[in-house]
Amino acid sequence: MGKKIFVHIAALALLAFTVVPLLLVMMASVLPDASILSFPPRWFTRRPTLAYYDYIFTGQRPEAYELRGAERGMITEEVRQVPRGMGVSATVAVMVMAVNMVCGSMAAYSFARLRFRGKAATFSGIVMCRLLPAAALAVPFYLIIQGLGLLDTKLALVLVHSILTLPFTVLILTLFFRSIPVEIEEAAKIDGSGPWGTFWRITLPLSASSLVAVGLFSFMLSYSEFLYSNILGGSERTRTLPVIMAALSTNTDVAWGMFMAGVFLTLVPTLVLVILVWNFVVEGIVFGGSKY
Amino acid sequence: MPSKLELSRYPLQWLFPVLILVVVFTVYPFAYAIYNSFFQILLVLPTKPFIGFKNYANVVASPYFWESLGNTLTFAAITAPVTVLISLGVARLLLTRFVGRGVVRALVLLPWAIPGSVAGILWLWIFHGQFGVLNALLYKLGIIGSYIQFTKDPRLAKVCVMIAHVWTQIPFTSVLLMAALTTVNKELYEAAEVDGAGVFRRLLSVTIPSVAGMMIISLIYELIIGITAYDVVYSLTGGGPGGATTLLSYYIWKESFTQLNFGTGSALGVLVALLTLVLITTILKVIPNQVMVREGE
Repeated sequence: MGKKIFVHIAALALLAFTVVPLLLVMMASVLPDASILSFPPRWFTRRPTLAYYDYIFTGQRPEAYELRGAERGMITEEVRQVPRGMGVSATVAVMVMAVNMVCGSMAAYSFARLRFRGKAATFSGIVMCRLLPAAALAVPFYLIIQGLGLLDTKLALVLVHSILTLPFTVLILTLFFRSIPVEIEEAAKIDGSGPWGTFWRITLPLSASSLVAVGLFSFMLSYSEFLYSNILGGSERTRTLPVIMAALSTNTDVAWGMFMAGVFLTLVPTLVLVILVWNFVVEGIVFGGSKY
Repeated sequence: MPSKLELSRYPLQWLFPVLILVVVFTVYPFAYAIYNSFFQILLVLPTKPFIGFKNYANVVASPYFWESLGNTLTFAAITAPVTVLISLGVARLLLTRFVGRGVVRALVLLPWAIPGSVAGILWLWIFHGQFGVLNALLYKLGIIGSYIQFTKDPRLAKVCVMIAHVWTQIPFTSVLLMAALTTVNKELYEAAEVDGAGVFRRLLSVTIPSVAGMMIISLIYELIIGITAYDVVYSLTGGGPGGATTLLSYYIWKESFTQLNFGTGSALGVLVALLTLVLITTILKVIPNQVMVREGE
């Protein structure tokens, strides 16, 4: 009995630690700034408002700010970049996901099924590349991307994010392809299918769930990546959500409730993704290898 | 398809996209970073004179470098083991039956999917010195009479950054350890129980040895993540107050992209890469070989 109570208390504590910061953001995003800034703190004496969300999407200034001209400076145009930033982040992340699924699975297949000289070296070379700290490559990447004339393009972000995510994708998919019984593919061989045909017609369909899991994983990494996005991006066309958010966090001009509304909007896709499919992703990555 | 025994030639058609993207775009930039670190590259100047080891000498002579190096090592040395230990508890908990486990399992993963720069903001709202949630709560409870400047006090700011960082890292390591724990032989627990081993005894003699390999992998991973941490710090404290929470990655970024000193930035990058390399090799040398072999079964 004592153990049971302990387990539930531990679970509650864990849940609180994880979820409370998110709930607090949601709360702040509907509180008028006057409440948040009040001292002694009185958060719930004024009526909650959706005015910040309204402003972000339509540009309609919150009433409170119209009335008190002095605080107009507290509204910043930057928050209004959030919806657009979502689009940029999602576009880049989807492309990174595609690159990972196609190129990553090809490489993984050759590691799992073909025998060739230099296989072990190539494999560990690819995986080891990721151990190099990202910051160590910041300057050369900037110069290379600049040299290619790709500064401030989505392509540069896709390129760099793919480099960061591919080693992991190759590692996981190799482990997964190895776990598929060779016999299934041998049958295809008898039917006269070459490695290429076997890969496309047999192996890939069999690994659909792992492939999607790894793809979503790279999507999420790209969606969250900040260091390179911050360095390589520039104009609105390439400003991803993490970049916009970080810029807002250092902007003392922004109204707190407005800022929190922006943060919450950033979190929405994440929440949806996690609640709907993240468990599946985790299972695909961690437990995928033991399926067959 | 060729059977496993057939030795084919190097399958370039399968590998070239990844090789180009990963190897070429990692090896070449790193070589380029080493090369650049011997030149004075200031973006404001058109010339790029060779200056030998002067960039390195400048770095080593700079007190900011030593401060951020110290910060980084402390940060990684504290957050990595803490993350792994908490995650072990979380993993064990999530494998125990309790009401609402499915929901908790899904929600626990949330911080993982949240961009680090956004996670920094979530915790800024809690730790904010003028209107933060923690201050408001402590004030309402009568514990403090005036607000504490959590992110403005050098020591407290360090703790804030560590908490936010650990918060983002727990889900991934928990999942890794959960995967390892599910493979532990149940009979070992039963045998231990028969022998009269209590909860702690079982933890020390069964659980930890069984997942030691994964714990070490997670620890190495977390150390690397800790040494290269950047985005949480950027949005939570901006490296301040002073340089109290400036970590190496942030320092590299600042030197390169706000001071526009690419030569020194490159030298710093090379030093961080070496630091990581030394760290990984040391850990792999120190831990007993057995552990790794068992993991690779």
